[in-house]
Amino acid sequence: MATAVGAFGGADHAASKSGVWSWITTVDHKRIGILYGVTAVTFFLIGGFEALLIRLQLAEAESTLIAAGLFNQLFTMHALTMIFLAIMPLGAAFFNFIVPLQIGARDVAFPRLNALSYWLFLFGALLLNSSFIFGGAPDVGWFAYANLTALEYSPSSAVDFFALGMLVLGVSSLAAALNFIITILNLRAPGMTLMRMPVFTWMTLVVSFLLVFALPILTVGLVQLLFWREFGMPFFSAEAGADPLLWQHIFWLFGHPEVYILILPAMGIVSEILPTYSRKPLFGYSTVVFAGVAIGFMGFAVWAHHMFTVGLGSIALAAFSASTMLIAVPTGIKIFNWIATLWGGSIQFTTAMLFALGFVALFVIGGLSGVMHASPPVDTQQQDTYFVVAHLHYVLFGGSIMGLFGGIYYWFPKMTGRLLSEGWGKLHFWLMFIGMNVTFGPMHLVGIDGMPRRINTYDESMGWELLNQIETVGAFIIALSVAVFLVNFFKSVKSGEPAGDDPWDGRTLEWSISSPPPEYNFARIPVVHSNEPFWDQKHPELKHDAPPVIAGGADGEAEESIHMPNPSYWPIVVGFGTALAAGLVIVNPWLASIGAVIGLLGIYGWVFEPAGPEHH
Amino acid sequence: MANRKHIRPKSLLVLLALVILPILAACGTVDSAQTTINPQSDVAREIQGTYAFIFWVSVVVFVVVEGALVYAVFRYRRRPNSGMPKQTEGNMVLEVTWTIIPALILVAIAVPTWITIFRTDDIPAGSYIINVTGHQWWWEVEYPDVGLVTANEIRVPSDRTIGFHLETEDVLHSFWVPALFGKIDLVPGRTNTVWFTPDVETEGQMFLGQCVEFCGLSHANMRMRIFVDSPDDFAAWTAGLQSPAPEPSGVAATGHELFSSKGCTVCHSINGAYDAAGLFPAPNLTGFGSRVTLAGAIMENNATNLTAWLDNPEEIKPGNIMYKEAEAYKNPDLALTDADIGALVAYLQTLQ
Repeated sequence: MATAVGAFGGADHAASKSGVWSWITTVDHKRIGILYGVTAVTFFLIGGFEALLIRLQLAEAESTLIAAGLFNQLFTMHALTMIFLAIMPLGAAFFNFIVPLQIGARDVAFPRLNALSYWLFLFGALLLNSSFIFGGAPDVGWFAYANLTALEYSPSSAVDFFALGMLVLGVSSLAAALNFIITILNLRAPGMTLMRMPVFTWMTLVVSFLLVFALPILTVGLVQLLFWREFGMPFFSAEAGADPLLWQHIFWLFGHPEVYILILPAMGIVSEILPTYSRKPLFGYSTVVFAGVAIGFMGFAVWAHHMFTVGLGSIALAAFSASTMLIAVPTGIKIFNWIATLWGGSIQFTTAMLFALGFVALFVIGGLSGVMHASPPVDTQQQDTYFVVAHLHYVLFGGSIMGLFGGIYYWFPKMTGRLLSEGWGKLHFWLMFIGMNVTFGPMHLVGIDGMPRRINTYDESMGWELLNQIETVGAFIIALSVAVFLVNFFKSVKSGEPAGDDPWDGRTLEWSISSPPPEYNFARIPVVHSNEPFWDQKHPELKHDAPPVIAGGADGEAEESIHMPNPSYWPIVVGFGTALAAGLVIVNPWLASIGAVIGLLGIYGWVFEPAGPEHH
Repeated sequence: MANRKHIRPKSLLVLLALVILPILAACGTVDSAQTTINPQSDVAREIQGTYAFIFWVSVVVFVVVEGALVYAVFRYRRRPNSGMPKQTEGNMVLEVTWTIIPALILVAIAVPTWITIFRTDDIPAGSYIINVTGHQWWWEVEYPDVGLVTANEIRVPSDRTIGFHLETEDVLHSFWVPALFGKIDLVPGRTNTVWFTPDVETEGQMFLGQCVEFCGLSHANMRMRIFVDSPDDFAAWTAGLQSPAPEPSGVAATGHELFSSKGCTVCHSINGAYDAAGLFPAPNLTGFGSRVTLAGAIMENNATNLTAWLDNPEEIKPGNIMYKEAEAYKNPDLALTDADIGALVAYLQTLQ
């Protein structure tokens, strides 16, 4: 890496290429992407560990292995960790690393803000998890329904950790989302119109808009929750004439778009992988893009399907069941277009492709079970049972996680310059695919058998024990598959086969530059004439009307000194100060001013920091 | 490349299992204790009909879509002589087709859904009304027409449509007996309703249910049962509860005294008023000895279990208010000895 960069990097940057300090001060979107990825995988392991403890407790009827209080913390933190600290940031890792490369940019629009997003995420995640040490983690479910969150019923600080941790994470995601919207809209290479953007970039754009619109809703709810608990302002208190259902409306008005925030990045990844290994363009590019946009829009009109059993009234039930079923249409379109992409292709079964195919196969199952409880009467038998747990894991594990692992296998060579081992990779895939079905498949059955979610114990006479044992075995198969992945990862980082610039015969711009890419990505900004510019450059014979393509890359004529932003330590200072202030609110609101002062100093330093390379 | 041959049979098997498992499941789980797919009332059957229709539509869609996927994967796998595939970019006719067909399927699902919604929404006029109040972590059950209050075990006559009015004393709960009706949440500040008409054949049967909205520490220990009684049995049961309990004698008489002197009556009522002093409401114990279960329907009501419950309720039901608040557990001067517990058990069992 050092040599590739050394040839073009300016002297100002030479000192900051390695060491912990270089990572702390980095504003390079690729390094921030790697930080996001490594942190997300770490939290994926923690969330997985929590899941294994849950599965151990449930493997036996009337088990006393894990006490009820700890069990409630575990299932709450498992969900929060997997959603906000694993899947979302893993998506962010790819947004960071890949999107600027796909659109022919040298970085994101606001590199220091990008670093701040990461540090806020890290410190917010640490704040949330520190609750395990300081009096107990959140134990009210990840949706934290009022009025269980009232001081009266949750007197410990667990709910405050939830609210403040989520607020910090929300600022992180919001900043990142705005950054990516601006990056994608403004920094595209010449000729890359919106309808020439790679689908992954499109899905990043949609997800970023979803975040911008959905997160403020959650923020309002969280601030209300805190004010309720800290200052007695009864936003959700029925005794005071308010309605606890308001929290549910607020939470799911955020929470359902959140589901698409979790799945659309994986859909984008799959839309990159399937064409590459089928050696065909994505079937119906514009349809897939519009379907993704439609899912994003409609995601805001279905929230009450999480509330079919609260007594909404028949009209609301009918309306929200209709909107929920409607959202299956664009989802179905995507599935059919993916299958049509495979149709007539020349399919190569790489590990990344297996994960993408696994995504499609499993997501179909999650989608179909979703249509079942889109019907409110049916949902009255399925809501809050393991059937829903099965459904959401087929969507978020079978969907998001499988897609994201596909992305890791697909883009790891671009990120590191080395290939992940295909042998270990396939072992990883098959163990994970089988483990996932053994774990979550039987949950459909035990849910149909009437087993509720979020119970730490059940009577042996219920007949749920065998299915639960099978699920626990499956969870350990998944754990084994993750261990295989880690072995593969560490082996390949050190001694994987050199990847070359374009190991998969890729179609989009990131494959036109070296692996790993130089700090400035493109020595010369490419000019784009189609939605698969690199493919068209490599295969001009396939297009009758192919205009001449000028791709960028390291072999272009390099400019002597490409303007790149300086490293900065102010983002970590601001991030730390913000999270510290949030954490200290729990101890004493006045103490929070310490964190606030650190954060403000950080902003002051940030503002007066020279933006460009310094000349002495 | 060498793996190509191994992939096919394996994935085929897995996919086959995926098709077969849910179908086996549908058949195999009808008899489980709290199954959702063995309806025993009009409302539950209505729901099951909708579910069965959507389920089979889903099975067909599943087979078609996964079949197309698997076919495409095998048919178009890269072979040594595979050339460059045709660079098809889309096909408007096809894409419009697979937009319209799913939309039509969804309309077909939506119509029975809506019909069921409106056929099961309001409690029919003339139904027998029972009020249920959720507490952490037990159910208070009131029969307003006869002025009776009981807990966790609900007896209903088989010849009437039963309507429940549901409220909560504290946090959200959800009321659910899957064989008889779908769940409905208990929400602070609201009165929700659900209803069903038991099948006559279910006379004498018991149905399991439990709270299905996470409600705190002992959420898993908030269960309930519904007994469908013949009209005569139901009348005899209500009459029995309305008549005074027999005068206790022997050790039970000691237990009766302890029930007052240890402070149990501060919260627990036997006969008479719904709640006694009402510091906080606890299960009304009228007719306790005739109940099948105790402690929120989590265990069989017998001397051994009742002794264990009175000895250490926190171990059986973490976080319960009796252990946290009752003088007998807070105040060492009032602590229950083994002999006290024995007497209380004897007394409680006389409450028929």
